[in-house]
Amino acid sequence: MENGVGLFVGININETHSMVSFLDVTAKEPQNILFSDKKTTQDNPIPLSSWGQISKSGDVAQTETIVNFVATLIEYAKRLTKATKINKVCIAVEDFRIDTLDAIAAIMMRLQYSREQWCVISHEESFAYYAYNQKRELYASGVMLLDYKADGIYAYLMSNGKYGDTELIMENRYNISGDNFKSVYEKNAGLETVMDDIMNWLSIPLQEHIISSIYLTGEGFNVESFPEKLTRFFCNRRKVFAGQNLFVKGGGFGAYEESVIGTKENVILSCSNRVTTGIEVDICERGVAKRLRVIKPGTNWYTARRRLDFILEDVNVIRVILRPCNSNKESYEEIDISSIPYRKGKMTRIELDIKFNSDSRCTITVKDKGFGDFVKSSGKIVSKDIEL
Amino acid sequence: MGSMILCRTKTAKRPYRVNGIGIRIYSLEELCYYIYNNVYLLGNDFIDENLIEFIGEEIGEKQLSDRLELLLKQKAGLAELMVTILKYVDYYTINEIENIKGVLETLSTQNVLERLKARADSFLENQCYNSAIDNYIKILESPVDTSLSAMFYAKVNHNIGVAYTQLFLYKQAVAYFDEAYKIGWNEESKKCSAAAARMALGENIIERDDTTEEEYVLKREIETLMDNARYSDEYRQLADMEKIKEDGQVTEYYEKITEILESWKNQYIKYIS
Repeated sequence: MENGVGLFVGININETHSMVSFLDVTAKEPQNILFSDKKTTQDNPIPLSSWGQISKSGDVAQTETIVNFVATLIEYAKRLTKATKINKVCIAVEDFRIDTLDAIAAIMMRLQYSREQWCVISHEESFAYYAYNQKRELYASGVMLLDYKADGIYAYLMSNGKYGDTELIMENRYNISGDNFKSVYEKNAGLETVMDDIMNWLSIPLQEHIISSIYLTGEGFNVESFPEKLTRFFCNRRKVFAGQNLFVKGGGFGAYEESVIGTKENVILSCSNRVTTGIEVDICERGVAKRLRVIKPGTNWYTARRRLDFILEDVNVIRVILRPCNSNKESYEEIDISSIPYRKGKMTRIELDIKFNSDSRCTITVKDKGFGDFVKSSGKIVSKDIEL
Repeated sequence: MGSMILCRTKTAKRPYRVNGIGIRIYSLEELCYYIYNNVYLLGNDFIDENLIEFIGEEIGEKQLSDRLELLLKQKAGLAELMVTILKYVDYYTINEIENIKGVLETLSTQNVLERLKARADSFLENQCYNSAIDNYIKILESPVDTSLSAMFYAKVNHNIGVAYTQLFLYKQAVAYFDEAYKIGWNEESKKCSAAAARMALGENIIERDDTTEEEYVLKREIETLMDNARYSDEYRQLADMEKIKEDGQVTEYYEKITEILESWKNQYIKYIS
C-alpha cells in the first residue's frame, strides 16, 4: 500500500510459525498476507526460543537462515502491496526475553533497517493496539484477552483510566492451568472439559470489572464451535471475538502508532513490558530552570533506551526524578558523579545513557566526554541500577 | 547549585580546525566557548564558507548555516554574526551574550590596526607565538597611521621581541626590542634587548671585568632566575624522572619521558601555530 509515507508492516512471530500483515492506512485496517501456499502462517525454520542462542553463538549458517526468513516475511508484504519503502515494521513476539529481542535487533540491523524503522512488542501490547483501534463501543469499558497456550490460559484484562489529561490503559493478568487444560489444548478433550473451571476462574474479575469485549485466541480456542454454556457466559453483555490473527493485526496497528505520524500523545499503555514510571531530570534551558522528561511512561522497555548529552556546570550529583504514570507522587534517585573532575565553567560534556533491563529496572550510566580539544575526557564512567 | 544544559545538536565526526590556532571544534557548544573566550582573536574572516559548511553538513544545523550565509551576503557585522551563533545554542545565558555583544560592537568601531594588535596580543597571551608575530608584522607592514601614538608602535615591536624570545629566537628578538626602545624610550625594552643578546650567546660568554653597572645588574638577574629555575614545577618533574631512572623503574621512566615529550610537542605545536 504505497502512500508516500511508506508501508506499515506487522509481524507476529510465535514459537513455531509467523504471520505478516500490513496496514491499509486509508481504511485504518490491517490486512493479513497470504503466502504462496495460500496460508496466513509460515513455519519458522528454527523455533523462536532458539534465536537468541543462535545469535549469541555466531553460527553463520543458522543466523543466515533466520535473517533470510525475516527478510522473506517483509518481502511478501512489499511485493503484495507493491511498496518500495518501509515506514515501520512492528514485530510482536511470543517470547519477550532479552536474548530473543537482541537476536531480532541483530537481524533488523543485518537487513539494514534503521532503529527508527522497526520496533518489537509483546503479545499483550499487540492485543492492546488491536483492541483499542476498534470502534469505541468495543473498548469503552475495557477489554479482555484470553490466550489459550500449551501451559494454560492467560487472561489480560485492560481497563481504562484517566489521569489528568492522559488516558491510561492498565493491565491485570490472570492465569489458569492444569492437566485438563493441557488435554484440551492437545485436542484430546473438548472445551466442555474445562468450561466450568474457566467460568469459575473468570467470574470474580468479570464481576469486578465491566468489560466491553472479550477476545479469544491461542491454539486451545482454535475450535469449530464453542460450548453453548461457555458462549452464554462470555457473551453476557459483552461482544466476543475469536481468531488467530489478533497479534499480527495488532502488529500492523502497532507499526503505525509507533511511527512518528501515528503517535498518540495523550494515551499511556501501562501493561507488562511497558515502562510505567517516567524518568525526568532538572535542566537549565536558556538560563531558566526546567524539568526534562527523558523517558515517557508507556514506552516499551526494550526500545526505551535513551542517550542524551548534557553540559554540566558545577554538578556533583545528578538527581533523577521518577514519576509513576498514575500518580503525582515523585521519588528521587541521586547519581554521585563527583569522580568526574571538576572543571571551571561549562567545560564538561557528559552522556547520560538510560538502558532498561526489564519494565521495572534500568541502568543509568554517566560518561565523561570532556570538552573537545579544550578538555580531554577523564574516561570516568559512573553507573547506577534503579528499580522503578 | 549547579545546572545541566541539554545538548540539542549533534557532535561532528570530522571536526572544524580553527585557522591560526589549530584547535579542533566538534560541537556548537565548543564553537560558542571558543568565540566567547577568544573574542579578540576573531576577525571578519572567522565566519567563512568552511565554517558554514561545517555547521550545515557536519553538525547538521542547516537553519543556522543558512542564516549565517544570508548574513554574510548582507555584509552583516562581526557582532551580529557571532551573536547569531551564540543565541542559537543554549550554552551562554542571555546576559552573558549581551555582555560579549558589547565587546564585539566596540571591536567593530576600533581602528583596523588597533583591532589587529588586540588580536595579536590575544595570540601572545594564548602562547600562539607565530600567529602573534604574523599579526604584529601586518601592523608594521601597513602604512603608518598618524592617529596612533608612538607608544602603540613601540609596544608592537616590543611584543614581537617577546614572542621571538619565547621561540628561543633571541637574535631576531634583539632587533625588535632595540626598535621598541628607539621609538618608545621604555627602559623595559632596553633591558629585554640586553637580556636577549646575552641569551643569544648561550654558553659562549666570556665575562668581562669592565661591565657597566646596568650590565652587571642584568647578569645577576639572569643568574638569580636560573638559580630559581630548580624550584619550578617543570624542573621538579624532570628531577623526579631522574630519580625513577636511578630506582631502576625502567618502564615508568620511559612512560614519563613519553608523557613529557608529548606535552612539549603539544606546547611547541601551539607556539608555532
